[in-house]
Amino acid sequence: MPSQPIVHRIQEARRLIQQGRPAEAQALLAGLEREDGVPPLIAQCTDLLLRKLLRQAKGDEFARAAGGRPRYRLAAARMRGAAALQALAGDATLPTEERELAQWSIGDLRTSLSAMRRRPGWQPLAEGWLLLLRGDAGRAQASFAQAQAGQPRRAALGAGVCAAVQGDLAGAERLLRGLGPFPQSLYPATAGLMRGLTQHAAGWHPGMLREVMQSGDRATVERTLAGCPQERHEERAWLLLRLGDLRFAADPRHPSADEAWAQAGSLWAPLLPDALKRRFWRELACSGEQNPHLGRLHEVLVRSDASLAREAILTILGEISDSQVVHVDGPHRQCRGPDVALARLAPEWLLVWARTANFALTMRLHHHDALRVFLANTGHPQPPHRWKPWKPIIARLLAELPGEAQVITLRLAVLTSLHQTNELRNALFVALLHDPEQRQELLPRWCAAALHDRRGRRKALGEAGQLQTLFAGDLLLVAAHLELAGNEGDLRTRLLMTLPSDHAALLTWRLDRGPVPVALVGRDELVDRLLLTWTVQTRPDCLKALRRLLWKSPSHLQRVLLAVVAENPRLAFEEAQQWMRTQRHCWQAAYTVGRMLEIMGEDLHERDIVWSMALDHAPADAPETAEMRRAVGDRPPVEDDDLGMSFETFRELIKRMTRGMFDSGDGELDEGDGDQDDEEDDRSGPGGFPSPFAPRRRKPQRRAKVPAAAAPAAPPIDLQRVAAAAGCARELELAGLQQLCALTHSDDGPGRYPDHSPALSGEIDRLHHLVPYLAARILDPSHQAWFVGLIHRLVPRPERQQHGSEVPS
Amino acid sequence: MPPTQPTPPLPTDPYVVLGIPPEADDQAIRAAFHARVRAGTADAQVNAAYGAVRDAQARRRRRWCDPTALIAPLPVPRSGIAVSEALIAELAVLSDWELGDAHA
Repeated sequence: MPSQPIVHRIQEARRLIQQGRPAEAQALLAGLEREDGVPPLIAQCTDLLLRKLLRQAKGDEFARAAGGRPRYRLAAARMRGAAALQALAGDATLPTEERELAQWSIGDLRTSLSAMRRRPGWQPLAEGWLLLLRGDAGRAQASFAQAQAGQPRRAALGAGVCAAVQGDLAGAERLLRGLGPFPQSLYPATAGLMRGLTQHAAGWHPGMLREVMQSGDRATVERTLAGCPQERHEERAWLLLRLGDLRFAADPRHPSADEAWAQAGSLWAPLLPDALKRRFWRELACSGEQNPHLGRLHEVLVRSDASLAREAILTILGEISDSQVVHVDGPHRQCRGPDVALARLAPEWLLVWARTANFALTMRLHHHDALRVFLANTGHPQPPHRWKPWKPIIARLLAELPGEAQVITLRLAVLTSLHQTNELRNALFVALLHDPEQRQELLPRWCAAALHDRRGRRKALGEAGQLQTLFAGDLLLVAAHLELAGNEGDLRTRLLMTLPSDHAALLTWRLDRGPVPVALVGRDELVDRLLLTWTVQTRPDCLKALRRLLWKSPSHLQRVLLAVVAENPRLAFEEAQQWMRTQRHCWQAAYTVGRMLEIMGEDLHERDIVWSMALDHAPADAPETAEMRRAVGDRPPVEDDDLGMSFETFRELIKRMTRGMFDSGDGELDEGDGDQDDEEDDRSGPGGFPSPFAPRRRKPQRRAKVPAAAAPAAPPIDLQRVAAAAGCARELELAGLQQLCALTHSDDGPGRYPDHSPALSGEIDRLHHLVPYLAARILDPSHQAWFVGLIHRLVPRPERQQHGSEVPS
Repeated sequence: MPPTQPTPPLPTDPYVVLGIPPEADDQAIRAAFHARVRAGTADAQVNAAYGAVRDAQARRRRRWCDPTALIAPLPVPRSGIAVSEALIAELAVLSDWELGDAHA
């Protein structure tokens, strides 16, 4: 019989173990082992201690407390793992049963059961487990009953499992009660079985909970709740929720229902939406009598009329003060649990929290309206730090309603308003993949987002590649590629970014070759045509910069202009004029102008004159030379020496002399205008004459018409006949002749020049050189001789001796 | 003491009316309703119940517009415990001490 102090010490050790202080209990028992007369009690306490350590899955402490005793070695090895079990199976010092159990623990289940079947006394057990494996619980139970005599505890274990499989959970719990402990980490399957049986024994199984929830009996719910353990939060939350429902059904005004719902939501986060919804409905029902709008809302919500509900909610929102409306980023979201629960809310419902009433107003709003209300009430139209609370809600919306256009629109609108470029780019990409038909709208936005997204360059490049595959003809992606390649400030890229996708087909060829290098711009006709076309149509202010760029390659510009002229001839022609003003690449400019005249439907004689000039300087092997030569024909080229001046100078002379005299070429004569000449002198071009293609600054003022016959001592000039002979396009030349006639027929009579200007005499001299060529080009052969004679008669050569001046060469 | 007032019932649960579990899909709901119609027991209440849960949109509307409708799913009951190889592998090789053979 142990001494009283020893008994007290053992009781103290038990108390320590129960209190979860195994180390102190172990130290106390270690001292007792050295005393005689107490081994059973010590063994009992040690057993308790070891079971405590097993339940806590503390392998090292278990091994130290077990001290190498054979009965604990299998459990200790199981806690250390397969290697320890293998070592245990080979330990000859152990009893055979322990070694075989260790061996069976690490082997294949069926092989182990077969080995167990061959061992004397274990056959019924092995057969029972094998039958359970096959799903034959009835025969397995009979087999376990046979093992009851030799292996009562293992037979009870098998019978309990058979009962659990057959649905007799109460019987299984009774048979398996007292086994274990089975910690989850060491025996996961067994722990699950024991947990289910324990719950059933406590009266808390899912089926029972469902029965109570659907019973509609308030007394049953209250009784079940009273017997529910405090630690079973989920079941208590369900019961509280239903209890609140029953209290609300009994008296909607009584606050006990609201308290039950609030408690349910706080106990278990997944029930928070249910609790919030009920509290909202109660609040709505209670306040409906005071507020007709709320009553109206309640009515339409009960009728499940979404459109009417939306109108009612919008009406109410106008009455809710800003201080009352707290949105999804309110203080309630500080708790992580409700935050997660809110993120799982239904898609088409957005929550507007009321801070003062502490309830959630669940409303079916159009998402644009919700966004508008949200932004308006927060007072921060563009809060950059508020995307975080939006993110889980929108993710939930997208999960619930994949492909819903409103959700996608909401997401894009929120991201845009919050300037979340990285997320916006990603969202646009997903939206494009989902609905390629929206590319007209979404693709430019994706490009813009990719342009400004500095964090997701690599991803954006990958997305651009995929989008190129999907929308092979779209230039916008090219622009994005260019831009993302580190060329953000390039004007051309920005132009490309905003191009209508109709023009994208022009660069389809390029998509197969990869991004267009910047160096290609100005060399590649398609790219530049695209650029120039768009620039001409939409951004005239960009033309200057573009022109400066393209002039680096004149021959290319020539082709570009020719291509553009079909779409905007007037502006292309002006471009060519500007080009010719530079006096560079003269023959190319002349060729281009001639082609434009042809395209614009002008008289081909004009084109031939220009091309005759161009042929003088064009290289013989140029393709344009052959074309011009074919057009001009076999006529001998005009030499400057023949004209006495360059053709351009001649043309300028004619225009200068005729400016202001004829506007319509109707044969009526206008007076010359000296002021006009002074003004035109300001626009002098190369060679001392105004540029022929300089933009007309001001339309010449129409003067009072004077009949041709009124010119003093003027010879009769049949201008109509001349015009008919020379063609309608020869107004300039006719005007020049007319002015010459006016000048040479002063009061002094024909052949006398009023100012006796040597310069004018020289010009007339040059005109005489020019007239045969001019007649050959603008008149048919029957009129050429007449025309030359006419000019010689009208404009006789000046008498140089009288003036004593030399004609300038 | 005055007699206790009887507890007013909850608004009729369409699933209870139709005799189907809350997890029933469209096909099961339709089948239950048609069975009631064939049996001649389909009244206005059954029709209203069927209309409340006949499709996903109606069910979603009911979840939010019916105060007593549940948003969170109820725990699904299980009739028995499934036996797995893992469970047998753990139980068949337990030692006497692991089984709870306490020291006498």
